[in-house]
Amino acid sequence: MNNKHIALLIVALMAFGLVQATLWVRDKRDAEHKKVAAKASEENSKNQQLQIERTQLAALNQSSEGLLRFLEAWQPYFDSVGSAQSAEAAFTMKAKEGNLLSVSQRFEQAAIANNPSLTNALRVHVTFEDKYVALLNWLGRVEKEYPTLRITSLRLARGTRAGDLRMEISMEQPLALK
Amino acid sequence: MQIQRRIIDDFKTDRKDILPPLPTVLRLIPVLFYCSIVLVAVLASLFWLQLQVARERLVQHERAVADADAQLQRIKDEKGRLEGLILRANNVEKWIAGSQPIQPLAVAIARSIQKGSTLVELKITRKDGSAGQLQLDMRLATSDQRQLDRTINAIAAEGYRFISPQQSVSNGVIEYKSTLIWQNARPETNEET
Repeated sequence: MNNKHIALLIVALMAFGLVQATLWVRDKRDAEHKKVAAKASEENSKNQQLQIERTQLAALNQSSEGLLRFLEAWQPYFDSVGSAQSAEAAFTMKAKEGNLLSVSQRFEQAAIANNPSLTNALRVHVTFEDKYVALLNWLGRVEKEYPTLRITSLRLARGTRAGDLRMEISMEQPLALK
Repeated sequence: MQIQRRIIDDFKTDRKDILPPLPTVLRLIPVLFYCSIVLVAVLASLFWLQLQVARERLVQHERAVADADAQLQRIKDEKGRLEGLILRANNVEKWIAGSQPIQPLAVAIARSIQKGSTLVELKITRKDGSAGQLQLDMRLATSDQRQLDRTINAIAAEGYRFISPQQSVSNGVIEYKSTLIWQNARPETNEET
């Protein structure tokens, strides 16, 4: 093998290397193009999903507008109740304000089932004996001032004193809105 | 001085070891070789440039997908918050629907009682599991046959509907029972305490 042969071999190797490098770059480019196409498709799909979600959110906003206004209007009444102790104190004060003859008064905490937003309530059992007008006016005032209060049972019967009425009430006051 | 070609040729000796010149077509081989080398180099550069452009595009698409994902997450969070509020509002609505005041009903019943009749006992209880419904138990001492009708009309005037009314008379006392449903009530509630 003379110098010319060696030179030829070197040139041939260089040419082969150049061709291989070119093919390698082409393959890399093709692979990158595939990745770009896949990403573009993913972007397109995400954009469509985004559009759907935006539409759904707008529809949900629109459909729940009235309901949310209702919640906004009622939230302060639930917030104003506070703890069981404060609700108990407020009710005792209200009973005293009515200046009614109280026969019995009992408080207990109870769980509210099937309502995940209102889980606890203060249950009040109270018995008064007084004049018809005083009793029902007091009851009306309580129901007006505590609109979240639920009267579960009301019993009106003749009182022990002449002209008096006996009023037995059970009521529930939800304590906190979750 | 001019030398004649023929005479000079005569001086030269024949060089038998030198090959005859290549044909013209074969002389193109090195030209084609250099051209192909240049072409390959140009192609390699072109592919490289395209690779760089593709990489930039990939980065742009990745950024766009990440943006879309972030926006989707924000929308999902907002939807979750909204759904939570809707659930809360529905629960509040259920509670409120089952908490309509009873005092106006008791007053209406009491006011319907005319002279000569007495309301011996009135009991109004919310039904367990359906707070929108009230159970009315009433005992009325009267000799007036129309008293009960007046009381029933007074209850109906308050917006209540009667379901399964039962009536019995014993020793001049009318015992009346019925389930009452407020006509303006929202859909049935089902909280229980």
